[in-house]
Amino acid sequence: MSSLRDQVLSQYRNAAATVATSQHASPGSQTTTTNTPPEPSQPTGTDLKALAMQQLLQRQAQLLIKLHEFLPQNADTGVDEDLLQTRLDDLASVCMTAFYAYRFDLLPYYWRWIYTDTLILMSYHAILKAAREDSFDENLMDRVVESLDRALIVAGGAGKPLGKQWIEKTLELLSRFWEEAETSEEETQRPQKRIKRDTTFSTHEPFGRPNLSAERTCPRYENWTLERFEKYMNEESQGKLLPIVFTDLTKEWPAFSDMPWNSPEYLLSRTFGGRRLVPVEIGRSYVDEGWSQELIQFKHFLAKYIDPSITTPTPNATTPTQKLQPEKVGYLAQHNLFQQIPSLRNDIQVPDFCWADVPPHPTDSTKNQTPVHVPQLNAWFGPAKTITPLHTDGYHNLLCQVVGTKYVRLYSPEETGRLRPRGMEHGVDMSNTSELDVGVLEGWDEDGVNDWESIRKELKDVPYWETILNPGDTLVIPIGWWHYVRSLSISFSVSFWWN
Amino acid sequence: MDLFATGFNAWNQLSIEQKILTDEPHDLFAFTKVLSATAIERPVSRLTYTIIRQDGRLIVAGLAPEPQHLELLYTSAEDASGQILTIVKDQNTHDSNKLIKHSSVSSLEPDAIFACTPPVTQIAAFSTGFVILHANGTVSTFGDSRFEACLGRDIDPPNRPSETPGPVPDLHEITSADDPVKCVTAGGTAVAALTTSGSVYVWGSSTTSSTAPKASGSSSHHHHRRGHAFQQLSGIPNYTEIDDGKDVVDVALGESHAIALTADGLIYVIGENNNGQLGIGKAIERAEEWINVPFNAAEGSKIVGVAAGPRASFILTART
Repeated sequence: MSSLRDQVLSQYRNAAATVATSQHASPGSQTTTTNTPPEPSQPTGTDLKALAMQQLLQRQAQLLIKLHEFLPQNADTGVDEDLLQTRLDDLASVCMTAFYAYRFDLLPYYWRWIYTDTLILMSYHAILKAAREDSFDENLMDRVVESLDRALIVAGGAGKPLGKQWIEKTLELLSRFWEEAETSEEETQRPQKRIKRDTTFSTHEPFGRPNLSAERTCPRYENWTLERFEKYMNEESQGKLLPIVFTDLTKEWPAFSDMPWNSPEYLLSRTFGGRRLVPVEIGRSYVDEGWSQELIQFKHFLAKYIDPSITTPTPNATTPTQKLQPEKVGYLAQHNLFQQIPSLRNDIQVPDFCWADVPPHPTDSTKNQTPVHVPQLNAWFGPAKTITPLHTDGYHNLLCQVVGTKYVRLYSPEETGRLRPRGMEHGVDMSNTSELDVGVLEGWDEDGVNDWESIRKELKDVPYWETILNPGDTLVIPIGWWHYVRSLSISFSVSFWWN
Repeated sequence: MDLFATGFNAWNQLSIEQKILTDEPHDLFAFTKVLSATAIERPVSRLTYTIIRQDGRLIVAGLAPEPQHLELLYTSAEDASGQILTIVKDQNTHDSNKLIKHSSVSSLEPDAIFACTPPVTQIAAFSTGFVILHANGTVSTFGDSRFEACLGRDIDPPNRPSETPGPVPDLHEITSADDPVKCVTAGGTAVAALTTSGSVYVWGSSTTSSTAPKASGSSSHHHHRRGHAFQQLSGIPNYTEIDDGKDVVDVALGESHAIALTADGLIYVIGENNNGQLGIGKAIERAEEWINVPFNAAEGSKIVGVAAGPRASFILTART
């Protein structure tokens, strides 16, 4: 019997024992969007629903422990497992109702905690069933990883002492256990879809690239010290900051060498064989009709949206290798992948420049975001022609290009009035996003609805900057600058927000 | 009178007169008699408890709120974030009254007071707001602007903000002085109005479920979110047809299901049945269309009303 298997089981049993005694409801109805549980407050604020959910969750944890105790025998446990499953599903669905009912910043912390614990228990139940029938297989691993990733992505892995830390540790353990199980099964391996080895993502730019005008292209620099950068951001520019490109900020990143992010195989090896879930935006741009988001396995994201040709369907398929284009655009956008999958975090480093003292928003102090203690990281991974529409952020931004190429168009904060900021849409303030579609204005994309000709005239004398980012390039987008980003090839970028 | 119940029972909230036997109670999958008494008023059922006025006094089942809150909770509407809305009489006049909103049942100070003319006669809550019936048969709504469709009206701050009651204009066009709305009900992201002549109009938001994408390649895991009772809801009230257009005398909405009593004394249900809330057994997980529930009132009795909790349904019968 594998000791890793035993470790997984005991890890889960301890978790259930923790859930069975956790006081989710006690912090009252405080809200917090951080990942630190609020300090316990007076019990007077205790929400009846929270208390009820806690009790229900604790009962299910105890039933799972009871199932675990009976594990070696095939005896009647006296546990109604269908009911157990229904109750776990009830818990999760009641949490989902709360997630939608509250605006995200008003959601009491315990809802995310209860959801995380519920999903931990769901994966425990799946593991127990597999252990009883000795049927650890591909499907089980998929389901367990899905549950744990949903807890991380949907609920931020809330809760203590389990939560994010426990999930990370368990995923790591499961991945070692599964690797061992798979290796021992290697001889009986059936032929199946396999990712081609030693390939890298295509650098092809299927839709061509815009011609940059020399006088509007962002200047490119290297060999700057932090002092020089700070001086540029604060004094030299006299408040007239321009977006600039550095070509040497990310030279040391392992992502360009030993830990190659342009290798599908490497990325799959870092994502539990591509099993980890990632949030993917479907559709050309988040302001388009029919745009949606889904959580899918990383390997399916690669095969469906990035490059259908990286998986070879069957060995006898001898059709000439034409470039397969994905049907729909799927974009892993603005996701803190590195918090979810910390092993990828080691492949990059926060550029020193993110610690520079920088000025606030130049024209509108209400746009300043609350100061962040550490830079906010986000991953941006997609095929050619992903678009982030013209918008501004409440932070300074270093956009680091790792794989492929991207076109960026930038307008100064002073032009805000001419860029048609949106208003309230469905109760959400959209004023940081412009109504203008740069792709349509430039004739790269089609849109039959609006009178773009008159808008083109209107915009004719509005100055802008532009650049094409290559692997290794870093674009400085000063706070308040409007930017439109368009991938030219398969592209993987990392952004760092700071203030 | 008798009260029958079916649905979610994780906290024994449907075990009103029954002994509580097991520590992990089962849901009820068929309408089961849970209470008999001389006089039973319509139950108020929330996620974890049921409150009933029986022979003039309030009784409660399930994981119950503190006793001093029972009266308030029985007479008010509560949205999914725990906001409580109550109708309060105006002194000296019957031409108007007030709505008072509290952020939770235990908060002492109201966070909003709305004067209402004509006066409010009935209120109901959906996930993110409230629907209000006025004495003249007109309907208003207010709530979270993120779910504009639930309000059944345009919002246009500052003239027609989402957070203060505003009329549902399309409903006023459909209904008329001859056929005013007599009852409003709501649940999840759906809202409904029943007219005196027996037509039910439904509106709300259903965008998140109908477009819920299936994880590609992997098995069809659902997203832990329950569906909606009605497909293709929008911000415009729409007539919902029950069995070729039967007249309806009572209707109630749960979080993701609905129950109706038709003029010929039959019970119809629609929506999710994960917890048995439709009372049609375990075999069917969801009813896409209104379906008839075989239910016979006892000899000499007839059905006088229906009610719904978020995941439960109730039938009230009385001697004829």
